[in-house]
Amino acid sequence: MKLKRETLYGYFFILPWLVGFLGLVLYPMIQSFYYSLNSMRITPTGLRFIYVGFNNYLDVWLQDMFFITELGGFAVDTLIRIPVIVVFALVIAMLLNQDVKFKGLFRTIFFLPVIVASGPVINQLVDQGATAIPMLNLDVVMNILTMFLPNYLAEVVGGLFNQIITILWYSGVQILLFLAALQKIDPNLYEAAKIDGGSSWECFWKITLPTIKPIILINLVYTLISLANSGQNPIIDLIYANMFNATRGYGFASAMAWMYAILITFMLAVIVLVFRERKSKRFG
Amino acid sequence: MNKKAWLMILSVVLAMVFVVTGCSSDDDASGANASNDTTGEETTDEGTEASLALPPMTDEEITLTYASWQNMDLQRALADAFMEKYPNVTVELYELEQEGWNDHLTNLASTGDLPDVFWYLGNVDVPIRNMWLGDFTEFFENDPESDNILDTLKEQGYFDGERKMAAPAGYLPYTIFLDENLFEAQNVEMPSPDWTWSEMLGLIETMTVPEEGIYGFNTFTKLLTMGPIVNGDAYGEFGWDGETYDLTGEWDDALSTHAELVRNGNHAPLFDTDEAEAAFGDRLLWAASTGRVAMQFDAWWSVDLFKTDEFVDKGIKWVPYVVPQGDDATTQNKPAFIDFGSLSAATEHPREAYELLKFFGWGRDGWEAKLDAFQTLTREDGELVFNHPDGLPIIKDQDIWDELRTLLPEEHYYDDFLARSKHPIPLGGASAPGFQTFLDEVYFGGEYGDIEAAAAAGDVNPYDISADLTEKINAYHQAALDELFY
Repeated sequence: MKLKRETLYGYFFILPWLVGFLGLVLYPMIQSFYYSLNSMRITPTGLRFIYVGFNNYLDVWLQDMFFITELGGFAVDTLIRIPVIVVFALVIAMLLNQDVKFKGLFRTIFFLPVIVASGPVINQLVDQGATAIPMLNLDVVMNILTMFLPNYLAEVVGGLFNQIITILWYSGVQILLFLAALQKIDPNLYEAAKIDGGSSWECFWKITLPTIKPIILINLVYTLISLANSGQNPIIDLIYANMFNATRGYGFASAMAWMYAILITFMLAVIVLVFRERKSKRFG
Repeated sequence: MNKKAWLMILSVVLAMVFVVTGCSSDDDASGANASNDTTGEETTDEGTEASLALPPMTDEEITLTYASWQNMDLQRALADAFMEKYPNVTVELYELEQEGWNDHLTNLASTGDLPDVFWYLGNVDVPIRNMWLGDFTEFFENDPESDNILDTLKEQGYFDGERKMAAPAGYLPYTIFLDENLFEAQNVEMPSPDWTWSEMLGLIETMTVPEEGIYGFNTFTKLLTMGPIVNGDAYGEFGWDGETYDLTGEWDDALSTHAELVRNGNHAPLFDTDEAEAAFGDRLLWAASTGRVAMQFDAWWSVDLFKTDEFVDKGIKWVPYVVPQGDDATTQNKPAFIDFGSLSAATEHPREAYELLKFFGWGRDGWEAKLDAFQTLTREDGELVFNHPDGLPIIKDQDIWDELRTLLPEEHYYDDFLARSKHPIPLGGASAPGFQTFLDEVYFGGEYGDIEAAAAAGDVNPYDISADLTEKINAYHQAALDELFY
């Protein structure tokens, strides 16, 4: 079979990514899966493996008392944070899409945290309390929340207030994606709607939102992945701690990482199912 | 001979070479065995001729790598002194962060770069499970200097009772600081340096004056660590007698006493709590710096801190006391922070690595170099690196102890302290296999939750669980020992 010149160009352009994916993603994934099936020893003369089958996976659920707790906490936390981040990103993107002065500067400001908030920097900021709202009395917020929410939910929502700045800092990329989508909407659509007597509110629900729906899905997926990989995520810390734990080690930690990855995949699947683009049957 | 015969001879010779090579490969299969075999050969040759004599060190130019979390200036000074003594040996120091120490070692081991000599931090299960520890029994037992190690430390590191796999390399004693000024203000006489356990508990109650907001004690180090060692003459935490643990009797007594003292308000409010804010007006203020705590259960490293203006200006005068002796104790055993070092099981120069470990740990030459460094090492601004010595000697030589004494404040408390500090008992994590894993999985993270917190809150009765815990910790110990034979 002879490949077309365009196809070859295509492969050529994705080659760097392909090499990176094979070497830095696929190979470590296979390696990590192999580790998860073994009990490992890191001896001065090399790695030693004892095959234990899926015992590490069982131990993750049966022996580690923190994993299930942290996993539950992460699931609830994420379900609350994702909508907050995506809605905030949409609001800011719409504001930045207006014809205002210093638009470029504002866009830079909102994207800046993505660059600044690398692991060590954000950890320092959190440690120094720079990510909480200074004038907010969390005790008062918690008192109000516990009046109408169960404790475990009140704690999550309270935590949201306490880390609101960090959370909003996760919005940089999402704002950019929304902005790109908003700029692609044909202004004629709005003009036609206005002629027909549509208000701005109606334009938002009937034109803006349906048009950018695919980007909402992308942003939801992106937000979930960035929260799941965040250095602020206690499950990542737990996996790291187990990696260097005397009796657990790399094998156990790899199994835990795989269980975590499966959960994230499940959450992604739910998001994609709910927000996927459905083909209109009207003209089918 | 014709061509066929030559071929036959060549085949036989080749077959013999393969057989010999194949058989010898077992010896090289693991670094641990390799180093052990070398050790055995060297000591057999020399040891039979002269008892208690180490085999000679190599004359070849070699390089040894070393990693510990001691002050880097001190390490450099000691490395220089060692290289001066052995000019053919080059010592390369690894500079690693103390935080995550064992993780750094794990990373080094994974790339085959585990240092020839290294300290491990806290949990001996990590080096045991990963087979890092070299066996230096033959060197240690044939070294006349081994007898110079403090009696309670000499036998440490024989995890299975037979092989010397690690050795104490640093010593910081548990220290109970008493605020002399507060005792004077309350008109309570300072205790004798030979005070007893019950005297200490009595003083905690006497010095608790709720109406003046004065607390009897504050803890960093714990009663339940001290109790079994000083009251039960144990050789380790949790009633360790050298072979098994026993938490019944002393541990449960000590935990119960601690919980009672906390509930009765003898203990200063815990850091960063509402109680601390109510008592001191600042929830983040360390109780030891309030001037309202009579005793601070701490460690030797705080001597330096307590001499700073922060405390002096507040009128606080912390003076050191050793952990009191048990009322019915027959030994002077006291708990201590003991750091352990070992040789890499894969080192190519076990004899020389042993000498390096000894020099930095218990060697007399090394201690002379250390004392010199304490007095002479200066920072760029001309200030001394050490205001007081970094740890106490782990050897018996009185002249070393005497010289170290001259580097401490002149008050008699320091004479009294040093005279009673020669029976240190290491904590469990670094010295007893299985101990730290038991703490992680059962003691602080098992069905009872954090046992100490639960006992202090009155949720758990220590006497109800001590037998069960004894059974569990001994099982963990045995499981860790099994790893030694992996």
